[in-house]
Amino acid sequence: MAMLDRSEWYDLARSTNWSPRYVGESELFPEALADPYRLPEAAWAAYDEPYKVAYREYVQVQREKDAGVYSVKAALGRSKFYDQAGPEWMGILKLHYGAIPLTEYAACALQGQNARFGRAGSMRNMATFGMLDEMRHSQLQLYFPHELLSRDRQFDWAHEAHHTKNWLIIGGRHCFDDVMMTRDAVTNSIMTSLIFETAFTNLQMVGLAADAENVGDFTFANLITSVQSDEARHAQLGMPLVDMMTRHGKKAEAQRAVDISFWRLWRVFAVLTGIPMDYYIPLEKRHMSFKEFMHEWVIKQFDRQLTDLSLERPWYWQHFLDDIEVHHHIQQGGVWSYRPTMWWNPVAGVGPEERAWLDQKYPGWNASFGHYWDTIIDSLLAGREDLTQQKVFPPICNVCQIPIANRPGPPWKARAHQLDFEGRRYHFCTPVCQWIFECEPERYKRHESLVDMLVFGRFNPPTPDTVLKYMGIGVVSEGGRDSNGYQWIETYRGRHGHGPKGHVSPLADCALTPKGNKRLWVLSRFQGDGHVKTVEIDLDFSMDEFARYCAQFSIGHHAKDQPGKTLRVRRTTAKDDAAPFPREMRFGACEPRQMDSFDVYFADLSDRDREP
Amino acid sequence: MAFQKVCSKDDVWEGEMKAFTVDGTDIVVVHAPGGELRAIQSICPHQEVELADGTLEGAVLTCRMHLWQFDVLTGKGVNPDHAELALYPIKIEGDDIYVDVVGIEPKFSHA
Repeated sequence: MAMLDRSEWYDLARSTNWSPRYVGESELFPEALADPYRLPEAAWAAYDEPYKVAYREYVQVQREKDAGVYSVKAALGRSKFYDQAGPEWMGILKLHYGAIPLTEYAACALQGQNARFGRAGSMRNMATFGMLDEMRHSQLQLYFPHELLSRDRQFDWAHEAHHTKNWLIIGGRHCFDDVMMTRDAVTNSIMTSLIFETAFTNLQMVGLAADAENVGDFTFANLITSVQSDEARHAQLGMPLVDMMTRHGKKAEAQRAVDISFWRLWRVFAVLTGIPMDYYIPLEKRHMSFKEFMHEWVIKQFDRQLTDLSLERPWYWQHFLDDIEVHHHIQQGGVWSYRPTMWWNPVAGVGPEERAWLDQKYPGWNASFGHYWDTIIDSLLAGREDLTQQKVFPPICNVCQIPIANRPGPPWKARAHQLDFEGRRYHFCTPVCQWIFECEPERYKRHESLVDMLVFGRFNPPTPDTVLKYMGIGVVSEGGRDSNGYQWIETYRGRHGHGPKGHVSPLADCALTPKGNKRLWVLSRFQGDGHVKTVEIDLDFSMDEFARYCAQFSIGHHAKDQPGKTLRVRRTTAKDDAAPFPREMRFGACEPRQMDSFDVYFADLSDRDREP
Repeated sequence: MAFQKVCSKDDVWEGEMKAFTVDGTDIVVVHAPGGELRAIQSICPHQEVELADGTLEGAVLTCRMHLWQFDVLTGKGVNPDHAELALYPIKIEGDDIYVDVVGIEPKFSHA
């Protein structure tokens, strides 16, 4: 029997709207869940998704895809790839599996919301397929790491990570709760389907798939390519909505949804994908730098999309271009430096050849990030591994939930952007995250970052160990350690400007301890350090003692001493132009408030400052 | 004359497609079942993925990445139907295939 062509019955099949008789429209589709923009019914009636699929076709195609993925896995199951894969590649897999599968599972709820509250039958139809897609993605990406668990307990994070309070997981969850789980059906379709699933999933799924093929992990490459093949269908949910909003006087609202979600997703995915691409993939296997990939796969296509939708580039475009040069590099430093907080074994990836490559791809890398790693290398060569373990935490951005950091070394760009709001002080990595907060403070103001919790006295005792346990470290599995046991520093011994025994400044060690109850949490912005640091200071310290006390958390860790100069303290200002406090002044005398930010910096010795 | 020799008919058998570069322009020569030959843009209008890595069934080419489908004989999108491939003029002389890429740009389309 001849079957009708899909186009002959598709419109009828997706027309599932009806006129409610027992409830009103506003009860059937509450604004907060469905459409707060009140787009007219005629607009909803014209909603059309360009890529079409019927349930019968869907099942057939998905069945073929699954058969492909599982048969490749079975065929390669007896290969020795995972026996021979280096710790770098295993780190990438652990990072991916910890971050992704249960986020996909959460996306089922997003698609479920749209399958119920989308006001067009066709939108609900697409979202139903989307829900099934996300179910498939979470099942596949939980099943594949499960077989790796017997080799390495850290793969347990695939199942567990999303249920922990690990800082990076909180960063991802906070972002997806924002763009995916707590918006109406129109906004979440723009933020998640349009922005995330058209632009950013390419990073993890296309970019990483190419690298996986180069490395020889065909099981993983095939898996994530198969996952990505589902995206385009449900990713199209958002596009018609932007068009509808633009036509019906809601262009500014659509633009804002685009701007917020693009930035939030950028901040997370630069860490998830940027670090592996530029540091973990062995140099000879890299097919593109993260920056090149961003331009090729995200910016070019995003730009074309914006033009097609008559939208503008986000207002923060220059901040974004600057961030591409810096963000994942300093977070790579942070992830390695705070490796006990991670669920995989971080890779340094900064041998001399890697650094030459980084400096070529990111001009200026050596002149800034090079200082950061040279400090670490000198400490390791000197046998001071302890200095590469951190005793204090950086403040965490109250929007993106990522540690506040910026370019280290002589450029010294790290600073916290602060806002006092309803009696609480908030900290931001950039003016963009601050803008997002100020757009909707009600949405964000109650959340406490791990460092807020530390400062508010939620951890008892307030030590790194308490925080680690809270984050699930040592509970789900052991935390991270250097991926190759510091072997990589041997390349530097006696070469590349490092002596045979490294070097550690006396400033790295400090006998001072805060005494008594007169203590205050403040931010130490130490010259050359890429991380701002949260330290508890004794109000009775002199400014010199303050400087010496802060120095021990930066010198030998992430910043170099400047012999012949002296440390001074001043308040942090936008132009770095505050006058230094007198050296003998009592810290409490400057009337500091909790979490005020202070610069500790090197100044020339004046005659008056010279030691007698 | 703008037609350039690309390959011979023996290089692309019926039911196959193959990527070539002509004067710096990437194209795919498709030999559809039934013997028709076409020269199409090398990348998918959706996200610039290589079409030569896709699959050809009858005259329908499916991109490997997101399963967009095109009728290679007309260049028209099958699904989504608003998308379209650029076609380059093609001619056969004996066993040789010639293509003219002058003045034709690849087309793009979003979901």
